[in-house]
Amino acid sequence: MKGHAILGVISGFLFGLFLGVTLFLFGVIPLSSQWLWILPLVGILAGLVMAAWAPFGKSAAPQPAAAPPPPAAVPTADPAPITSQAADPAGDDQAAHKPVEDQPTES
Amino acid sequence: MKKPFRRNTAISLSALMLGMMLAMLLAAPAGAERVRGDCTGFAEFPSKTSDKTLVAERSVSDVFLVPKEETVVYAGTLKEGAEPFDSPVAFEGGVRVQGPVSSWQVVSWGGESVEVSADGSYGYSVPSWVPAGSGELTLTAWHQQGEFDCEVVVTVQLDGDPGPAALVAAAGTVVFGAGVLAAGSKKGVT
Repeated sequence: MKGHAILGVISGFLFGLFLGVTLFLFGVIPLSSQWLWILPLVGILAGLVMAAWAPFGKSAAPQPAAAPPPPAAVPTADPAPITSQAADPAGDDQAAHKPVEDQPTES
Repeated sequence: MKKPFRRNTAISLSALMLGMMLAMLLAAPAGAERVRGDCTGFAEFPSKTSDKTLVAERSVSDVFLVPKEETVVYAGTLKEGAEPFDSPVAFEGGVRVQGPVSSWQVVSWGGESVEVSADGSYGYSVPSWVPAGSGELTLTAWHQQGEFDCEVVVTVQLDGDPGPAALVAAAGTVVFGAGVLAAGSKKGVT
């Protein structure tokens, strides 16, 4: 049941009852008419149908079936500073691969 | 509004209206007025300005307006030209209002008599909470005495205006109709 069944049954019964009384009071149907007891039953049925059908309101957003796996980590380039080969043609490139020491940061 | 919803609603409403029209046609009153026996009688409503007399032969489909309060002058016989009984014979009778499921006896009488006819006056007052000017009421008057058994059916309507009762009923219809529609809202939607 997508809608509100209990609300439908109670409201439907009272709707049919009041509709029958209204039709009688406005002279549409006589007091002996069978509609005076049929209408509340039809109202209950209508309330249940409305609750089962539930044509109003948006459907709740569907839950995702499973979270997609995170993308594979791409190795990042070595953040070593680029040094100019022309400046030191002798080739002591150890400095280029020396880990950068942590600089003190202001707190 | 989506097309299937409009189509389904239109089909449902059309089916309901057709059903109601068919039922009203089938529920049309029959032509029987004196449904049993050979009795005759009338009731006169002096306060009315026109159509003052209600006779037993009146057609059921011919609605008779009655005031909410009246002293009725009545007369009736068990059979036209019948002779009085030799000895007192028990009799009983009454008036019933037909409801949707059962009927209610609103007036009753009984006793013993040698007479085959009666006349007199009878005062009544419909309770104030009963709305006037509403739908038709089917009244059945019956009388049994010895071999005589008579029943007359008439259709009456209380003269007047339904007043606030009709408005309250109409408002209730609208409110609970909205409740039926609200039952059609999906659960868990904020």
